[in-house]
Amino acid sequence: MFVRIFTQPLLHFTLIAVAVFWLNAQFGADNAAPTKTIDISAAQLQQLRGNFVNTWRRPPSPGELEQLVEDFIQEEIYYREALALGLEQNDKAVRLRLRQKMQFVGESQAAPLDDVEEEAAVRRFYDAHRQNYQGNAQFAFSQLLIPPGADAGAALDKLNHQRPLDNTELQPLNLLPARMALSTAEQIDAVFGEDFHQQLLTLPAGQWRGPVNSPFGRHLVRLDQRVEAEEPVFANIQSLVKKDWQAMRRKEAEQQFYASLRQQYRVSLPAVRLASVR
Amino acid sequence: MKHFIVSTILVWLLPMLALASPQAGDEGSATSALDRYSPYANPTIPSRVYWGDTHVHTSLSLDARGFGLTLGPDEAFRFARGETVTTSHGVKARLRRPLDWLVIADHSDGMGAMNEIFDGNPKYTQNPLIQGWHDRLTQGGEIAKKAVVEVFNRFSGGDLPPEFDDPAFTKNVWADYLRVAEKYNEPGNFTTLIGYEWTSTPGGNNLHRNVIYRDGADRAARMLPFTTAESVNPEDLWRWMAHYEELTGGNLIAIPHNGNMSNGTMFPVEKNPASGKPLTTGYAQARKRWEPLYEVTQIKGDAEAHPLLSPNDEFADFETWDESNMGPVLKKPEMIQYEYAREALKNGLSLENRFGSNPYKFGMIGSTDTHTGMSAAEEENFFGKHSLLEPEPERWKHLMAKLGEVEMISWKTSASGYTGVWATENTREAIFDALARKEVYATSGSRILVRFFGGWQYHKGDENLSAFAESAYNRGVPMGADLPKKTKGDAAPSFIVSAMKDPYGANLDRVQIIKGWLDASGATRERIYNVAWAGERRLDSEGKLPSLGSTVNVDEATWTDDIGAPALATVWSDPDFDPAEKAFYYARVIEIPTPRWTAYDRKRFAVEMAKEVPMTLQERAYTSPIWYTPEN
Repeated sequence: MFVRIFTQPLLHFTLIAVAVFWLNAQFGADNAAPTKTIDISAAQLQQLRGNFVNTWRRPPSPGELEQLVEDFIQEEIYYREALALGLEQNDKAVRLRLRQKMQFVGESQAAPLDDVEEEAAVRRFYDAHRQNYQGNAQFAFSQLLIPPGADAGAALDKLNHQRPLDNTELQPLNLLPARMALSTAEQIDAVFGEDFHQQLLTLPAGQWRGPVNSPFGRHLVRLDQRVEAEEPVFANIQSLVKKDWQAMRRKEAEQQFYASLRQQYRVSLPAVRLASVR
Repeated sequence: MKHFIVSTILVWLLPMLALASPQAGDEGSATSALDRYSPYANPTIPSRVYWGDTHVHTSLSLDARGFGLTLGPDEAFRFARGETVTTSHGVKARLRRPLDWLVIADHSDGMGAMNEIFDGNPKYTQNPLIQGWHDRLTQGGEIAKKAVVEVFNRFSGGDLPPEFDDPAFTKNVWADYLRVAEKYNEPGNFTTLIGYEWTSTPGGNNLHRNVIYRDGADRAARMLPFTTAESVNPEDLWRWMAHYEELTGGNLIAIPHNGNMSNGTMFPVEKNPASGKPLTTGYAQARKRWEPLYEVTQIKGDAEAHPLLSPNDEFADFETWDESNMGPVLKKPEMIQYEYAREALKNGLSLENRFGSNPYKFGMIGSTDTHTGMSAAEEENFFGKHSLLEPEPERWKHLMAKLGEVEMISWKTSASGYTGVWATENTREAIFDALARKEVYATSGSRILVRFFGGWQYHKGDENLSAFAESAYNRGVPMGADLPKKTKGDAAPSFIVSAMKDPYGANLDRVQIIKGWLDASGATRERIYNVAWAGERRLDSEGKLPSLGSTVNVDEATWTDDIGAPALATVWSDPDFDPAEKAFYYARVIEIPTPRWTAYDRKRFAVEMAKEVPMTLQERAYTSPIWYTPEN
């Protein structure tokens, strides 16, 4: 009779069930009960104090420090309990934050270079992106506003023969500057209207030309000086170029990092593609 | 031979000696000729206008931060100098053209403190009142709005919790702000002027003043800004300013604004509102000394003229706010005469007779008073009064503020204004000096160019001059100044006025000269003269000019320059001049109609708005006046 107990399916099932629960307890995911001990180290205390000093530029009072510590303890307790409850799952904010952290991990994968290699790489980067570091072209010019109906050709003729125009040939009581010192396109257009500077681009220096149009009417213009966008001295902008190069490297490293991870995953999508779902 | 050698030497030597000995005249004139050799290094007369705003708030202001603004002084300067910034709502914003200078004038009461309340800084939240504010603010929505209003009321009433009164904290905030102002100050390119707003609002009556420094951080750091917790009386502010100048050797001016929200207390004529006692000579002198300017147009309405005071002025009712003070007290009609610029300029003439000083001898400027950190006064690029009124479909009908019974509705806010400064260069000193001498003018947001000169020697033929500025300065005075003394031979003053459109804006409709004077019986009078206009129009028997009509397509929010003119100018002489009567003259330039910011919102968001919401406006400029005083 004793033997018969061991052949009963009920016993077998009970033993299997116990085994399953035991295995789950040993190897099952996550939901382990959190440890109830919190050890705050001297370093953590220093960090709390340091954060306070950074913000308030004075050390915290004993009461304030106590409050900071209590606040930190609460944060730690809630953090552990939250994990125990699995609250981090399906939380968009948590997912975003962890994604961001992985991005940092990926960015830091870039192989380190020694100083010589780095300098060469920055140089190459600069050569490839020269146009981003150009200064602005500048123009100095003289201009005269002529009244509507005035004979521009005759006026130009006079000016180019060093004869000044008289008042009847000019817009009365004109407020626009007769002469603009070296100015960028943006500065010129701020005074004379949108894209006015474009009309200066084709002018030869030293000669009165026109009429050139603006919202104010017609201008006779003499380009006095043109300074091309300056090729900057590399030493002056080196740190800026290096920053841009580092940003590019980080981005490339992260992209490679993700690509290698992606390869390891198999993704299945529903049979009916979303695009065809109405 | 010896004789020959000696004489040869002498022949060569003597002239050398003569040349070597300095001639008294030569050396002097050589040096002075060198001093002024380069015509562009020592400009003596202003040859261009520099555009700016004297009144921008950032997240350092209690109320601005409370309404959700997260942009600080860095972003505000960067926006003004033409960079793209991202607003508190994640929208990219940029001016069409950079400004040349900017004053960030945050409220001195609790400057920087709202950031701390939002952050829940334990130092403040120890006070349960402040903790309560933090809790309500972080909830957002209506609860947060009410909390902001409560905080605002407390500080504008001078009733701050003691925690906000901490000099150490204020010192840090002030020092940080000064550091940023120095960082963005680039002489010749972009000027930052240091400033703050003293926010006196006794009983809800707006007596706010912006204090503006000529100085840099070194001097400005030596005294903390004056607050309303210390006093709400403008005379105390002027005392603080005098103390600052004495202590540091620096220079300040104060600029009041929003007389239209002062319920009759901005420009008193009989009694000093602070004491209830009659005005004194001391008051008149001090006000004249410290307040050379008035911010006549801004987001909370235009206060140059009011239709009740100027029933003959068809342009007087422009962006008019006349229902209340800042809250909760409603306006009574008898208050209005003490609130508007033109009336104050007139009353000032009479007060000058009484006190010997004209307390209302001010020039006029325009600013935004924006609480979004962005000096955006363009109609098509208007980001609102504060961060709860930044662009979105329903913003036209949101409340700007509600205090007691008083409601201020958003569609009434105005995309206004800017200040044009005629200065010799773009530096702190030159801009400040121009503000102090009033060679500045106000616009409602358009960058209209105007020159206005007055004198006794402008004559027929001057209107044909093209380059006239140097000659005008030599024979008369620019806007903001007093006419030169009249001599026996002079008949009537004449004025050169020249206006040119904003190259990114609309054509001009007309130029007017507005005269105010004190007649023989001691009464103040005013008259508007249309002096230059576009198109073939005739003055009627009353001197009025018909309207040009409008090219505005409201649905599309566009206009065309088929009407109006790009430039209007003339020389005008006063036909009604009486040498015995004090007077002032200023020019008002008016554009053809263009779409108002509400029309742009209507189109962009495809929303319908209530019938009373205006869709068009005529932008304008007001120059600072030129004064005439008879010889006694």
